[in-house]
Amino acid sequence: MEKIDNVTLRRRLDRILPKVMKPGRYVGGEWNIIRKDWEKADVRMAFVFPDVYEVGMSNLALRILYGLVNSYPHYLCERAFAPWPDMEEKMIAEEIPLYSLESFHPLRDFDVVSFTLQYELSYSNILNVLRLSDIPLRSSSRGDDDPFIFAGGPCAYNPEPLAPFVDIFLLGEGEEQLPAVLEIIRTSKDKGLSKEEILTELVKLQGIYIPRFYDFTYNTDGTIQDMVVDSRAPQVVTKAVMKDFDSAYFPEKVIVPYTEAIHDRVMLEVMRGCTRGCRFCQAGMIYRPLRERSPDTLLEQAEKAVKATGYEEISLVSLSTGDYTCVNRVLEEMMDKLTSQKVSVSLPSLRLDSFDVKMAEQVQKVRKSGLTFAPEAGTQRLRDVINKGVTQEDLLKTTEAAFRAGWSNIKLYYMIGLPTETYEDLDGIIEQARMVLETARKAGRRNAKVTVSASSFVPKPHTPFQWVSQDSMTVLREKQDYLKKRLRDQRIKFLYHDIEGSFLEAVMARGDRRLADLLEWAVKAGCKFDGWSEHFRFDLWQQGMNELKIDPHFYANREYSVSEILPWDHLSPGVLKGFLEEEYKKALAEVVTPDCRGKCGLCGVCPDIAKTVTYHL
Amino acid sequence: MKIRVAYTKKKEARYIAHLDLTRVFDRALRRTGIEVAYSEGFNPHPKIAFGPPLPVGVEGEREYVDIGIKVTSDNDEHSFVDKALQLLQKQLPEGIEIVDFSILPQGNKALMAVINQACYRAEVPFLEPIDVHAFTAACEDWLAREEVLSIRNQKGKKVTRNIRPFVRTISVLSQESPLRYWLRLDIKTGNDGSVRPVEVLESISTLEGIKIDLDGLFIIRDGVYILKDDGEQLTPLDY
Repeated sequence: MEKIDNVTLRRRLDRILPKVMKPGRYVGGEWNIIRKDWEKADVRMAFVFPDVYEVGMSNLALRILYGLVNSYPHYLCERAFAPWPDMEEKMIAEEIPLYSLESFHPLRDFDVVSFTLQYELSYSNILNVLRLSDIPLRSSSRGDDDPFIFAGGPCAYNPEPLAPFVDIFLLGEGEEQLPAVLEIIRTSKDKGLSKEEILTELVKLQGIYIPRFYDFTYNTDGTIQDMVVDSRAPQVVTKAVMKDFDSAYFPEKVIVPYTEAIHDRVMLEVMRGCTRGCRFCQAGMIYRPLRERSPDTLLEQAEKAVKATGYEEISLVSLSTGDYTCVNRVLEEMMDKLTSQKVSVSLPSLRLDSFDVKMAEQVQKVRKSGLTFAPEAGTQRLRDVINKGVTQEDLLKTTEAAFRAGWSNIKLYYMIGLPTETYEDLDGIIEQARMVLETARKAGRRNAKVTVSASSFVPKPHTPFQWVSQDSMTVLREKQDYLKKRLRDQRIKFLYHDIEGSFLEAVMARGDRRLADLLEWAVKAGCKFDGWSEHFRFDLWQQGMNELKIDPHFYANREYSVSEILPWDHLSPGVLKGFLEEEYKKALAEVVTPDCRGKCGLCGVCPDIAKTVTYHL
Repeated sequence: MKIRVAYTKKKEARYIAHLDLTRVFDRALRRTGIEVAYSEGFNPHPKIAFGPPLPVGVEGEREYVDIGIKVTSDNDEHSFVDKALQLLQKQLPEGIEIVDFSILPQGNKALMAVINQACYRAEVPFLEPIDVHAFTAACEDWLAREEVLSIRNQKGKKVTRNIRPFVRTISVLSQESPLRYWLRLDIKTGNDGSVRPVEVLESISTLEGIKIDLDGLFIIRDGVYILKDDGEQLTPLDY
C-alpha cells in the first residue's frame, strides 16, 4: 500500500461512505471528541477497540484512557475500531488503510497502537486491524519506524496466543501506568533510543509484560517444560492497581456518539473489584481488592457528566452494584437531582440477595428497563460449588417484589457445563423458571415473561476453575437441547450461545504461544468478528488446526494438572495460586467461602497489593 | 410552546442517520438546560418531530424540526425562543446550524403531513465527457418514460417500485466541465414516500446509457416545501 496523508484519506472516504451501512461510525466528529494538534504532540497513541464502533464506544476503559491520555499536554490519543466487513471491503478497494476518527491519520503513523483485550474472540480482529493498517503482524518483523503494539485489559492476564504480535502488555489498571509508559517513550524518543532499549526501560514498570523477554520449552506431552526469562525482566509480572480509587481519573466529558452505541449512557464506576468470590468469575479475581468510590464523588460526577453529555440515563456500573455500601443513598440523591431533567438511573449488575424493593422503586421513576438476575446454576448444590451464595428463596422473594413493583419481564442468566454439573442441575433451571412465573402470578402479573439465558462455561485463567476441562462440544449441545425441549413455553424465552464460539474462547483463554501460528493462519484465511455468529467461520478455524496440527482439545477439553506449569504462571493479579487451589478443592467438596468483607479469605491481595476500601452511611 | 426550527446538516453531520437525530437534539437540549416538553405515559419521549428524512450523506441547507419547549420566563416569546436557540446552537454537532425559526400557532399540522416537495442540487461527475444537449436529451427521455422500476433493499427484502411519479423535474444548472455538471432535481416527498436522488441518477445511468461516476456524486437538498395545488410554493416557516 502506498503512503497516504490524512487529507487525501478523508477525501477518498467520501466516495465509499454513502454505500456502507451506518457510515456515521467511520467519520468521528461526535460531541466531546478531542482533536489535538498532531504536530505538537510528542507521543501519539491510537486506542483501538477490536470490535465494531457501537461495541467499542460502550467500553469504559476507552472512555477513561482516552480522556486521561489527552489530559496530558504532551500526548495525543485518537480512536479506531474494527470496520464492519462491508466497510473493510470498500477500504481495501479504494486503498484506504485503517485510520483514526479524530484526525484520519493511518494507524501506522502513530507511535503507539494500543488494543484493549476484552474477550478472546476479538483476537482475530486485532491481527486484522494490523493487516488493514499495513503494519507487520509479528514484533520480530517490525522495525524502529513501526509503532509499538501495546495491549491491556482482562485478557492480558493470559495473552500468550498474542505474544508474538504485541510488544508491550499492561497487566492491571492503566490510570497511572499508561501515562508512565508514554512518558518513557517520550523521553526515549528524545534521546534517540532504539525500540529494544525502550522496552528495556519499560519492563522496569509495575505491571509491564514484554513477551519477547520470555521463552518457553515444552515436554513431549505438550505441557510446558520450562520458562527462560531474560535477565532484564521479572520472573513474575504483578499487576498495577489504583490504591486510591476514589480520586482516580474519571472522564466527565465523554464522547456522545450519534450512531447509537450498545451502552449509550453515562457510566459511573461506583467501585472496582468484588468480594463475593464466585469461582468461575475471572473479573472477581483479577480486579481485587474491592475499592469503593465515595458517594460525594459519585454525585458530583453524575451532575457534571449529565451537563457535559446531555445523556438521558446514568448507569451505576461495577461487578455487583447492589453490594455498594451506599447504593440507596446515592440512588436517592441522584434521582432527586436528575428526575426533573428526565434522566433515569439504572443498575446493570444486581445480585439477587442485594436487591431490594426500595432500590427497584428508585430506578423506575423515569423509565422502566428490563431486570436481569444471575442465579448461574439451577440447584443449591451447584451454586455452592461455584460459590454463588444466592438461594432459591432470594430469587423468588426478589422476583415477586419486582413483579409487584411493576416489572413484567425478568431475565435469568445461567451457565451450563459448570464443573460437577448433572442433569439434575439442568432440571433445576427449568423448575426455577417455572417458579419465577408462579411468583408473577401471585403478584398479579399474568402477562409476565421470563427469559432464560444459558451460556456455556469457559474455564478462565486465574480462577479456581482454571484447571478444569470444558465440557466437550457434543455434551454441551446435548445439554442445550435438553433445556430447549423442556423450556417450550409461551411465557419463557430461551436464549443460548453458539457452542463453537465458547469452545474457541476456551482454547484461546487457556492457550499458549503455540496458538499464535493458528491465529495468523486464521486471519489470513479471512477469520474476523468471531464473536458475531454471522461472521464466525469455525470451519476455517478447524481447517487451520488440521493444517498446523494443533489439537484444540489439548487446551479446551483437558483437565490441566495442578502441578504443571501454566502458560500464565508468570503473570499475576496478586491472587495466590495456592488460594485458587484451595478454592478448587473446596468447590469439589461443595464448601462455600464467605464474602471476604466479612471474613478475609487470604487470597494474597490485601494488604500488600492494595487495601479494601468501603464507605459507610 | 411549539417552535419550528430551520437548520443545516452539513459536513460530518450529513452522516448522522435520520433515526438518530431525535437523540442528538434531545441531548443537545438537555445540555442547554432548556426544558423540553415530554409525552405522557410509560416511556416518556421528548416532543421533537422532523420533516422528511434526508438521505445519509446528502447535505441539507434548510431542514426542519418542530420542538415542544416549556417557557420558563416572562419575557416576550420571540426573544425567549431566540435566546434558547442561541444556547442550543452552541450544543449542536458541527455542521448543524440553526438558520431560522418560527413559533407555531396551536393546532399546526406536523411537518411530515404538509411537506410534499424536496429540491436537490447534485454535482454529477461522468466517466466520459458528455455534451449538454446529449445529456439533456437523455434526461428528457428518462422523464418521458411512463414507468421506471427500481429495486431497493428494505429491511433485507428487495422491493421493486415505480420511481418515475416522484420526479417532477430534472434540469442542468451549470456545466463545470464536460466531465462534471450541476443538476437540479425537484422531487415529490411526504407520507406517501419519496425517491432518493441517487436512485434517480443510477436509473438514468443504466436506462439511458450515461456513464455517471456514481461513487463521486455530491448531493445537497436546498429546501423542502409545501407545493399548493395552485402552484404556489411555501416554506414550512411560511405555512
